[in-house]
Amino acid sequence: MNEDEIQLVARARPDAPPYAPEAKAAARRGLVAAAATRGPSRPLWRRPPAMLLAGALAVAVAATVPALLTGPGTEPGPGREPAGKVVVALPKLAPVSATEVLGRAAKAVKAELEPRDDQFVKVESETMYGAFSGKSVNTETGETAPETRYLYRTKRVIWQSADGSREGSLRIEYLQPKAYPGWPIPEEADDEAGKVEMLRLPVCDPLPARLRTDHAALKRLPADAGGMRAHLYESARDGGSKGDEDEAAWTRVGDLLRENYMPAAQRAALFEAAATIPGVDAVQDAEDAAGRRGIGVGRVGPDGIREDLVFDPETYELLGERGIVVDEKRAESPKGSLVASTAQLSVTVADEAPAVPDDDASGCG
Amino acid sequence: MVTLAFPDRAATPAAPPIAPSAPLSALVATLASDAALIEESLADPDRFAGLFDRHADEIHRYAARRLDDVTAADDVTAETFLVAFRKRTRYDLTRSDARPWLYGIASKLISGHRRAETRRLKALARQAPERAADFEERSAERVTADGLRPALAAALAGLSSAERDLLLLVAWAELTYEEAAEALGIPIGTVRSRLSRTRTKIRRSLESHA
Repeated sequence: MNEDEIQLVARARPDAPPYAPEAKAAARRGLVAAAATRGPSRPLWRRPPAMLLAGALAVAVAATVPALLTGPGTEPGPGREPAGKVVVALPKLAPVSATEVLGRAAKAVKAELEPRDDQFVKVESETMYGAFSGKSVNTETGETAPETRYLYRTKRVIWQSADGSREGSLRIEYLQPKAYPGWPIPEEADDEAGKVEMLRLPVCDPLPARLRTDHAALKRLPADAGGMRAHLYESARDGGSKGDEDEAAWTRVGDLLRENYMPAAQRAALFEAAATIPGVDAVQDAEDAAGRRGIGVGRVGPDGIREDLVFDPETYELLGERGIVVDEKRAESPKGSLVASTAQLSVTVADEAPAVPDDDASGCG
Repeated sequence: MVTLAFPDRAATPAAPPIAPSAPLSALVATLASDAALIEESLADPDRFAGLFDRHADEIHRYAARRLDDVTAADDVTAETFLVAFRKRTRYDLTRSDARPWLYGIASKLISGHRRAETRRLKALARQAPERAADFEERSAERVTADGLRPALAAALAGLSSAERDLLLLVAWAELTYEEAAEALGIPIGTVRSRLSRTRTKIRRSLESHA
């Protein structure tokens, strides 16, 4: 085979400038920060390319509502608000315990959907998460670009194969971003607003069973609280980071519910098991991204942010998730700031997922 | 500030051979692989930084060669590992070496900087013709970034991004055909046919500049 042209190109390979230690250290810090704010990763999450790091709660928080809910009555205003305005009151402990709320949520669970393996679970949601970019140094000019943060907002519709065997789709519509409380809103925050992305969710090699979240795998999870609790801790096992097991177990609770349909038996078991995780308590006056008020059940994570599941105060249905600053220092944002918020708007079953033309961004990685 | 456990892939000692009846050494070898590190990171995300320590320099070198500004190369490298981190649950754990996967991600990100790359290639192609003649007289080993032959730069600029991605993974990143296929998620047969087509295109482009 004639390799001449390839060799020609190989010989013309330019020298590479060295990787500046500051840039390399910044990249590593960014990666470590991303890792620190996450439990077991969620593969379908995707952020705009402008953002270097996912929000603190990008993985930990967002919600699934088992029921078919109608759209929210109150749309959050799309306009940009000053940082101070997104600060809400500090969570007050609810008069009921987390065990009670989760117990009621477990009892309220009704079987609504029965997706077949060849169908898709379609979930519509609205989300707000932090977009972080690390401090960076331009090695040529020596200029320093500051660390930035803002809250990016989206409407998402996801079609996921019930048993992971068919290609799914994800539609992301970017809404107007907001300032991250305590931080100036950077220029790049506006870049994505108004854009709509369609992404393929290709069929990939299956994950280890303990990390799967497709409907077929959820159906096989234990339907009793004890078994489910063991699963929550098992999916976070051999982490090596001792002391974080409870955090990882709570993260897994969110991962199982988010943009998903948890079968009724497993959902009830999950709520009961979640109540046994140390540090989990209930607060009143939690609100989801659609402005629906409810009871928050959650715990404070290592980043100083309380991650709540938000339940309807009457029906105990899961409405969404939210993240709220509890430790100002660790979160680097004023106490009481709302830094993540989601609302699950509908969960239905679909026979097909919309076809998406080949996009560069998708893949199994 | 950051101590790098694995300064360079080349400097990383080879894994010890696995004795047929020695589960311990098998375990050691397994732990040393990228796949093992990625698997550990599923439960303990912090472990993923080990992958950065092993391969960041190599990915940065590749990005810096393809893009005309070092800041863009810094961005691509940082983003490559963040994307990899997010996608790590989908990593095929039977592939012990994660470099093809990382190169694949980096290639996509470099495509996002296509303007910077095209600018580089066009700028090089515009260099005075004397430089091209000069190039002929220099030994191949002395070719540097500035010495990328203008006609060749023009030829590269004329390729589709899919062709350029593949060609440069093979020619510059020195991936094998199998690794390049893995990086780009295409069958090995496609690698062969695409490279063959690319070679023809380059040859024609060079002839037209001759």
